[in-house]
Amino acid sequence: MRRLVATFISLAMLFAGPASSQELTVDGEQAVRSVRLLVAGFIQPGFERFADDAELAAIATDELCEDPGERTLDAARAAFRASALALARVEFLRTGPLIQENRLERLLFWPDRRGIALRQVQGVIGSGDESVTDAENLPAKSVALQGFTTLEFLLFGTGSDDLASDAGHRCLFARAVARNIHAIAVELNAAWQDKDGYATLWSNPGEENPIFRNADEVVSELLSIPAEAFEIIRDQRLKPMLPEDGQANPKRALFWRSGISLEFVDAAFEALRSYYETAGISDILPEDESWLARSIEFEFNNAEATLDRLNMPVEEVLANEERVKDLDYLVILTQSLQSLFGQQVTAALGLSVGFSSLDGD
Amino acid sequence: MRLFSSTGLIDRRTLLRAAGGTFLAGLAPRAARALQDTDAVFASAYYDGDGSYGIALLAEDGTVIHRYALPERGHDAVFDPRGERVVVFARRPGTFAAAIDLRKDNEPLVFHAPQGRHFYGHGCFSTDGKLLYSTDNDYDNARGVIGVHDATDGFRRIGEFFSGGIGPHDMTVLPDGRTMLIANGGLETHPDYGRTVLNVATMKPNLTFVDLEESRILSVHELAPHLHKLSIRHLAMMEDGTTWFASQNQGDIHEPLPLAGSISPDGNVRLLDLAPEDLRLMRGYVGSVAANDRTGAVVLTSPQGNTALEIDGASGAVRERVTLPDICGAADRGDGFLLSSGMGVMDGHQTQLAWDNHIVRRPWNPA
Repeated sequence: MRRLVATFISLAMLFAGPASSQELTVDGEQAVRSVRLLVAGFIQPGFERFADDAELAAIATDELCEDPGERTLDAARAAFRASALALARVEFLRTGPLIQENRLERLLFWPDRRGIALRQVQGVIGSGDESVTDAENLPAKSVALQGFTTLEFLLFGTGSDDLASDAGHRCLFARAVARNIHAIAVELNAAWQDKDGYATLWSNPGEENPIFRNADEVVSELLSIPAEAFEIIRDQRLKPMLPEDGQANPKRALFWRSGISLEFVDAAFEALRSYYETAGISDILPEDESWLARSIEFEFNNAEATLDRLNMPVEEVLANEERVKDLDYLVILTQSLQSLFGQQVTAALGLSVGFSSLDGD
Repeated sequence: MRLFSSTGLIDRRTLLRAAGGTFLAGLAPRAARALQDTDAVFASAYYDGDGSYGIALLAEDGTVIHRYALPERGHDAVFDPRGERVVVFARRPGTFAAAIDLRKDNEPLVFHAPQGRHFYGHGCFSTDGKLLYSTDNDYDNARGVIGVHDATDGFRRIGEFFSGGIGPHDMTVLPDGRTMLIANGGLETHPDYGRTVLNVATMKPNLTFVDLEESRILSVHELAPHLHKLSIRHLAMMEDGTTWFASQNQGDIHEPLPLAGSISPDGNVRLLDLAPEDLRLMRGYVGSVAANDRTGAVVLTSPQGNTALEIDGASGAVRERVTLPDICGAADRGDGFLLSSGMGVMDGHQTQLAWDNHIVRRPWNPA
């Protein structure tokens, strides 16, 4: 797959003139303006919504434990789904606050190829370990016990239907995990709002700035986020779903228990489109490269139409040959969009697209 | 006639002797001239920009002498101790390696990692040249292994042993000939998930010494717990066996953590204390490290930061800073270093090949 991507890089792109003479086609003000628009119009609202939805999930889980029943279990499950989809809209912003203090892994320990989380969660349930019922204790525990995949198993996994009648250890564990997720979401929201925080550094490059010295670094960050996001969608969300040697295994998909595997991908695509539009990336492209904007929009439209057909649980997708073809097509779209952001737009804006730094080793 | 130090330049006559007439005859006239005019040979993997990958032999001045096509993207290469053969490994998670016998004008001999393993892109020969070691991923068991290949029999796989950690990357055999040093980068990956790192929160890279004769781990050296996201990846050994290591930060790349250091043969680890300003230039990533015994210098390159830092090995002071987009390949040469970039620059000249992350120097004074 990677080789396929690599072949998209043409010599012309690699050697678009001696790199030292390459210059950014946008001025510092334009670059900073894009980032400010993005932060205020997409990133901050995204984390605010995530914190809100995580709070609702914590409240709903709280109510389930207070008053176990079908209604409260349904509500807790619905709140889980909503907060997980809010996560989908921000989890690709893997820079600054999200990658500090293991926040990303604590929220989403995935891929979990060896089923570590399931083993640990089942171990904790089996032993009745009381310490996991207090959210204060969770940050010091394994990252696999703290986040969405754990909460999903507790609310949807084997034995979860008992939650409708029994507010015992399992429910209190779920409540602690939901509270822990909410606490992390609050930290993220605060960090992105912080006047001296990462958002300010990103939009104020300069000699004294410890991270962003110039407009090149500002724009490079702006474009590498979506490029990596499409790689994550492909390698971590889509490819595990695809049948291997003709053998479909829906349980390899993220969030198959709660039935939102495809919705999660859909939310991520939607968010990435919003990222692209909010930052006004099409506005900063040089005029003769404006076709790139049309290509990006074309691919986003293709993805949207494809995902509309995939609006169903992953088991149903895998049972239908046509829908599996749609999944294959989505994989191709992620390659195309990764190349558009990571290479073509990057080069069009005058940044070097290196062979060695494309995917480090 | 020039003088050679033990780590200096190879004798071109040795290469010609080793290469034999057929090799030279097989070269284009210009390449053959370049070979005759040169005093050193390097090798580096490349991408030709048009969908094809290969490995090139280079003269001392960085001129391409000969190119060999590879089935896919190569990474690091290693010469045997006599400088007669060069083996290039696929970039992770590739499964092929290609051996080229410089004495013959032939196609590379391609061999593969066994079922359930892939190469990480680095290897080394035993001191007698009879064995080739490779860093491999036993991915279903999330365990690093060192593959052992019979270099006298078509690089047939004859065994493997535990590398002492997860994600072994670069390795070297110390001057005593029986101790191997392995950089276990600590990254768990599996082909099912591309190059996704599966264990960022819990990764524990280390440097492991292995006794090759007794096939046992001698010692394992980890950095302080707060440095556990620094994936130790590349090594460059000095004559006395002191080995420089270089890391890549898998956490917040803007955190100013030490990206390099050295380990003595007796396991004494010294971290390189770079000024925050210099660390910042590297953007949490060292792609290649090379050491020059003649000058006591070490070079660290960062394609992410478009920077190479030449360090005084004894004091740790920065001697020189080089800015070049996508700079990565580095090998010692004369009183300095040969440097290359993924943007096609080799030794300051623009070429039409995108150079992979490493350049390897052919040993001089073949045994």
